[in-house]
Amino acid sequence: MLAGFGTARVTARQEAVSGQSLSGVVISAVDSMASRQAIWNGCVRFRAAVPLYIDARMGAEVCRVYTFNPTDPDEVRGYEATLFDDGEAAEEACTAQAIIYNTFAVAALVANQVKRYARGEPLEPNVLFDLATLTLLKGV
Amino acid sequence: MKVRILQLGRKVIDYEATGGATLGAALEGAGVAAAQGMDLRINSQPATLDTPLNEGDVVTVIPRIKGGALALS
Repeated sequence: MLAGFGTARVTARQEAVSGQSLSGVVISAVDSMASRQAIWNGCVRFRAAVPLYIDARMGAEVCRVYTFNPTDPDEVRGYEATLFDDGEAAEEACTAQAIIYNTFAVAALVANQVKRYARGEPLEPNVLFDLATLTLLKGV
Repeated sequence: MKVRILQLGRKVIDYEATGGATLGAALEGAGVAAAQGMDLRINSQPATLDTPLNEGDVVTVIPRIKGGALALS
């Protein structure tokens, strides 16, 4: 899609995250809170080279995106309050084959935040979008 | 009194609660399981099952989501 609409190039790298020095905008889109916390603590938290961190989560038709500066103590404190153990997560119904479009919705929310950052527009730190009820909430 | 329950990931319920009802009583009456892994809000503010409701309140039941992963079963 990027090749069709612009000149940007994407190089995919499949490797485990274990404390690498990441830089630039970091987007976390992983399958568990354990993986999310490993990336956050090992590669992002208070890293000056990462000016923006986007954490995207989804479950069934619910999408959630956190966007913030990971070197700002207040924002770090607020984000860390949203972290929990995998055992505390809701058990979602196993109907994912029928609702794969939610991945497009969460991707759109992430891309929107990147666009805002690139253009110097105000960011939305906490967006919650539910396709089942067509509800969009901010800051909850 | 009428309240609206947004059960994210599921459905919207317009529920007629008794006067003085708590959030927990309304959820139980509406058949919404507020089990582990759910965060509760009333008019976007954090709430507990003991929080009293008022006419016109909007209750949001938010699942704690972690993924992620597609469950292809």
